[in-house]
Amino acid sequence: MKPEKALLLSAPALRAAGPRALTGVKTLYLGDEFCQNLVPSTEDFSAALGRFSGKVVLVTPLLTDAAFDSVEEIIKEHASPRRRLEVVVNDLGLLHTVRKRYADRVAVSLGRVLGHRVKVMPRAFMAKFLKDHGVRRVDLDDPALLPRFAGLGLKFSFHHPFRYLSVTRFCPWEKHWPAACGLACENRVRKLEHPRLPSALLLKGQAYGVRTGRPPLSQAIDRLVNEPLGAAK
Amino acid sequence: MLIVAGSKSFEEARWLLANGAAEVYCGVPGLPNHRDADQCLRSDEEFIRVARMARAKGKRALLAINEACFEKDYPSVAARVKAILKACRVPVIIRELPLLHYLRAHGVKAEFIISSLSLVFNSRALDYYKDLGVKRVIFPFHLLPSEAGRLINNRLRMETEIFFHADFCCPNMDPACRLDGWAKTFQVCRFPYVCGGEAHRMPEADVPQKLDQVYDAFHAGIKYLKIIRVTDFKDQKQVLKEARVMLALLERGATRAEFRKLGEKLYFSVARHGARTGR
Repeated sequence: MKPEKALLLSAPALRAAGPRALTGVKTLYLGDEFCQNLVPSTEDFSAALGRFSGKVVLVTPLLTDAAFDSVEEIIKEHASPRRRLEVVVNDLGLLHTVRKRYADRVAVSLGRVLGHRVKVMPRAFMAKFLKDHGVRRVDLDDPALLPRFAGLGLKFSFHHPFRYLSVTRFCPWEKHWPAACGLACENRVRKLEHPRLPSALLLKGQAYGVRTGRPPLSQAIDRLVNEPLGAAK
Repeated sequence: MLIVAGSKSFEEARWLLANGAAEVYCGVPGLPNHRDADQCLRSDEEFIRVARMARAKGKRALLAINEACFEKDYPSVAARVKAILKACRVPVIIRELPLLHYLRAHGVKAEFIISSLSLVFNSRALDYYKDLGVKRVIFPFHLLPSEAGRLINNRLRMETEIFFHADFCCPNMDPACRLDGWAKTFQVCRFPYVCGGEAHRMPEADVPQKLDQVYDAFHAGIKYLKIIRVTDFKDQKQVLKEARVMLALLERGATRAEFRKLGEKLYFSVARHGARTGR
């Protein structure tokens, strides 16, 4: 079966996107796994649902309490037992709260940042941890991680062409902590070079990573998430 | 605020406790912690000596097991931690969830402190830990006190701790960073990069921004101020002295502007050669 096509856009990127940006896309990933300033507001989320007829997945990073409140507001407003909202979760607090309060309304996908914490868990603990927290899907960008999560009845969303390697909360674009954001990173990617690196590093939002090639062919991957990079400078 | 200082030897611990630290924290070789063996005490016995010496002074030692380890090592980690706790009742700094659950399930009764490497960024995350014997949480240095009001005044009454300048830490979020593994070398985050033909460094907070964190932490009611283990103890001594001066200034009611002014002056008078974590 051919994997479903998804597109990842931050809330500002969706606002700026032209009318044809979502053509051919089955699922829209709205938000960001690395910066809480790129997570949608309830208004952004409503607008996305109005504009896009497919499925909209809420993408979240590590969250301060204030950002947590915004995410919870979206869950309260847009998730119900009849129409479960898929949320990519990278924060232990959110994972725990969803389990306690919104298990019947939210379908959890394990995000890439949290995934790297979970991957080192002992196998039996990991299986129970994921089951207890209702995790049915894992977001990945590295094929080497597929075997770690294999055999647990999980579905996989594979991100390309960006593989994250590091993340900061000190904005590399505006050089301040997250509170005051001028969205200087919007639609921009920086290319960092050094002779000792295997390839150039890319700075995208608050994440450093690399450009990857074609996604791997694997039966386990049922969704490909395109993470637009534009022209790196 | 009380100063918590990392220590690599009994002698260092004695100096730190005699010069303003309320607590020292240490790792021991073989128990998973976020430093190489040469930045740890020599043995479990040395840790017990440090803990007893601290207790005799009305102070405390903390045992750091703030790193991941293989599951096969869990039984020996639990046995050694249990033996240490039997000899001296000390809080344990922990990072990994499975290890915390394992220790609890295997009868290790301790006050646990959640490591900054656990990336607790909100008060909801504390709910996960509430039934696991956790008494304190160390903030990741990427979390500002001004963003953490509910964490600081949490209803679970967990205490909070913050770094005194994270100068020796990686600029990015350490446990969420795989740069070194990818490039098969160390401190990739400190490389002098070229970006669009111009020199580029991965940015981190500047001195006024770091000072603001300490100022805000004090006024927000964060109880502990953490000074990390560094390679050169001479550096650490200077940083401890600097922290004491800055705390005294806060206790005397310095304004933010006064705090920044003296803080910047002091900051640049202290050598900071960095930590070598081996990661």
